[in-house]
Amino acid sequence: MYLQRLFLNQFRNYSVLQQDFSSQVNIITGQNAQGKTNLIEAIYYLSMFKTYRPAQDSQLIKANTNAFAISGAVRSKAGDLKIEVVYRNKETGGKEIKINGLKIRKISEILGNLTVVLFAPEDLNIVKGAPAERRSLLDNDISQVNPSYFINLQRYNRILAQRNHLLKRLSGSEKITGELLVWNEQFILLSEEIIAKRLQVLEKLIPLTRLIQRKLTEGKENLDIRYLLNRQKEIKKNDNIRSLLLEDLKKTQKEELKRGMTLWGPHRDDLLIVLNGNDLKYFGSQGQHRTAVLAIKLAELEYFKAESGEYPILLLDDVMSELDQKRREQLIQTIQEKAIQCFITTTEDLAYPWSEKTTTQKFYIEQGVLND
Amino acid sequence: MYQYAASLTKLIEQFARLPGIGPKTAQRLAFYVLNMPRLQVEEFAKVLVEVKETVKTCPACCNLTDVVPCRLCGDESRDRSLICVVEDAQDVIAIERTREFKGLYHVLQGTISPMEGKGPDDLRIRELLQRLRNEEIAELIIATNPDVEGETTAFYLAKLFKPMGIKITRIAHGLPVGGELEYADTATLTRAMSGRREMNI
Repeated sequence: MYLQRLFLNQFRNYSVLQQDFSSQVNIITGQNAQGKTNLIEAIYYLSMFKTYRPAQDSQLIKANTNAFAISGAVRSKAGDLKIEVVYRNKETGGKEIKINGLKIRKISEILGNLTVVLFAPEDLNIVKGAPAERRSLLDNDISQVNPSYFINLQRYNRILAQRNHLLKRLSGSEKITGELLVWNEQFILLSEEIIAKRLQVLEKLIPLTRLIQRKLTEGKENLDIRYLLNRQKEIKKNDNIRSLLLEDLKKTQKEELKRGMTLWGPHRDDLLIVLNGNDLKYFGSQGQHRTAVLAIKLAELEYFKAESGEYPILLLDDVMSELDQKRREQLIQTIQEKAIQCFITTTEDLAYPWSEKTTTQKFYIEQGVLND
Repeated sequence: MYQYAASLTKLIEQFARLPGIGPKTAQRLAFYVLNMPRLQVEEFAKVLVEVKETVKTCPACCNLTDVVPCRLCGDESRDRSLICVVEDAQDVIAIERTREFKGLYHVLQGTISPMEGKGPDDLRIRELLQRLRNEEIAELIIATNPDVEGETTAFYLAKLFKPMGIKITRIAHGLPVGGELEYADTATLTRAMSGRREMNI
């Protein structure tokens, strides 16, 4: 799958941009703050219909204007696809998405039309950061290939909000009402479904990650990922998820009523990344963190390929300089071997060892203007 | 800053309070009223007050009505052993349009939704319990919406009434009749798939 053409209007620092891209390697150079990351963000937005950076949709609009538009022509096994998004400031009416000219009402209908794997400097947080970073990695991957998972997550968040409201109202009384019992049951049902799906996907992702990590380190490093229920209890294959959740409920219900909030469930779960038997978060070097994240990212590529039959688009935002020469070469080799379309942003135009068979296209960005 | 005449501003504000009406639409409606014939405006105002004065809640099914008992509860030809539980009065109209259901209704007037401060006690559940105790009911059909709140409410009712030994059913979720599979949204299709049943030929 690849992005043939991108069109931007009033997005971030771009006024208007229309650009055709190579189906293989696209290298975008430019000074800082010229719009390199904004371009990566725009492509990501066409896939997930939200940004990965900490910003609201309204903040993506170019200063002094009140709407932005992104559209892209995608070529995939399923055929040619035109994806269009327009976001207008609230008063004039929110987000509008069209696929091949047809208006789409729900995002769950269209996730997976354009799949992307993003590797940006902040991805080092996958190892070091809060549990939410690791959960969203997994949630985004699953949502892109499994729309019903995305729907379940939305329902889950709604039930969670309702349950929290109820717990807040009951707090202090410490009385378990019939209404709470019903919300508990609904909460457990969805929690169970979400966790089961996450485990199922991890079971595919872990062997891929392990294999790639060994390849990246010449067999020296063994990487493993474990699923932690409520950030502490490791869940094993064949564990009965429902009974573990019921245990959590039993343990925390009193405390939940006291504090007026939900204290367990998949929104509090975590992934433990283990390198050679140690928790990588505390024991790994900076270089090991980077390699592990690279291994996870490359495993994501294979996961998408296995699930949808096609490699996703790889977005590499300013990470080439973060990797040492050897990892960089391995990454380049992977991209070439699998003929993956990638977008690479960098401040300096480094001469990468691309083979002659790979078509590379170079662009230079200055002040939101892209030049060949 | 220049503003409209005070009474016109007031009218715009009144319209803007209504659900689904923004400031621009409110302005358009207000100007429309301003240009309506006087008689029509009077009729409009009269109807607004009248609806407030005459429409009440049926003591049995809690549906909106202007007669007591309501026309549905008072209709002797309906099957009194069947009760269909719905969220609001609009749902009764929707089901009545099918002309399929011949039983009675019970209107909950909402769903359990802690975010809106609504719990079971805020719904017309006590009235339903009364009916189930005092009347011979063979089946309770729960027809709340398939969203999070509707499902939770359905679950709550089922749990509450099951010990009374009443048959409780939930309306099916699935594909719209006459619709095409490829246009159905993912959530509906998923549900339709899990709720499939064996064909009887």
